[in-house]
Amino acid sequence: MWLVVVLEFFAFAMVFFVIADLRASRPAVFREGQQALSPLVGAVATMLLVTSGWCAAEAVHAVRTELLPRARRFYLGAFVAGLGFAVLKVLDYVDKVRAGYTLGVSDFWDTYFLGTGFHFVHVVIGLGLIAYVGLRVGRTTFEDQETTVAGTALFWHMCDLAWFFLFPLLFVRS
Amino acid sequence: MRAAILILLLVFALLSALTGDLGTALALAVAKALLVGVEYMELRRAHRAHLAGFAIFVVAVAIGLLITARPSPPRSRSGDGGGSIDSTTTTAAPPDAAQKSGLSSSTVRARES
Repeated sequence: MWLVVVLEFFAFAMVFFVIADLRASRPAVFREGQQALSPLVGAVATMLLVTSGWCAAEAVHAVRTELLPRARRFYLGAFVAGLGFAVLKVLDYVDKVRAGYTLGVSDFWDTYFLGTGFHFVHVVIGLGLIAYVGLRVGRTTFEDQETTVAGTALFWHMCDLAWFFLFPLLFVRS
Repeated sequence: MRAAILILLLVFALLSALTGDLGTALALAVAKALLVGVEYMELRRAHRAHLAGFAIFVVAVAIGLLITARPSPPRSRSGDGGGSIDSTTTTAAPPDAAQKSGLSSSTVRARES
């Protein structure tokens, strides 16, 4: 799973550099686009993701110590907080599209939807993995429990890391 | 320990939203990434080389982003008199005069003066 995480992070890094380059080369376009973004919404999204990541880390620890009911509670917490992030992003996309900000409007919105959309896809995949492991842990014998449990959490933390860099690049005013 | 890290991460997330400086926000992103990597991704239990590699990669990405996101200096435009190629050609001799004499445009200009 570490290999997947490293490769994914390299892919995210390319997106980060595209956004950073746009910040530098088209500052007026970038500033104009940023006026429509709310740093507060971005901060709430970050808080939901880190809370979800903490729940995932606690769930892994609980599975290792064979506290399965506790592990399931934390998996549920990780899923709910992660779902909160996903719902917030969907509401954000709907809001932006209704306001007329779609792909092709400007370079800023192209990179915004590319960057956050790429991250959103990973969040949805991570939510699926967390739901699967959370529902199955203790009820199914995994072929390799440590890899399944810790690997899922690792993927989820990678989503956290990517958002940590996307947030300042997109939301902090240039 | 994990709960303490969560509180730190939440505080850093709030600070990132409040700061208006990209450098500060990226420094906070590095701090958050290192906290998650060391504690939640359990790199503190991994080999030191892996931990060091992770830290170096995160810091290098942040520095690279900061350099890339720095606004580029304004480029000189034609006719702005800023020593551009355009300003040189406006003072050069007409190309037809240089062609007729078989001399370079700078030589023609010097003879005319």
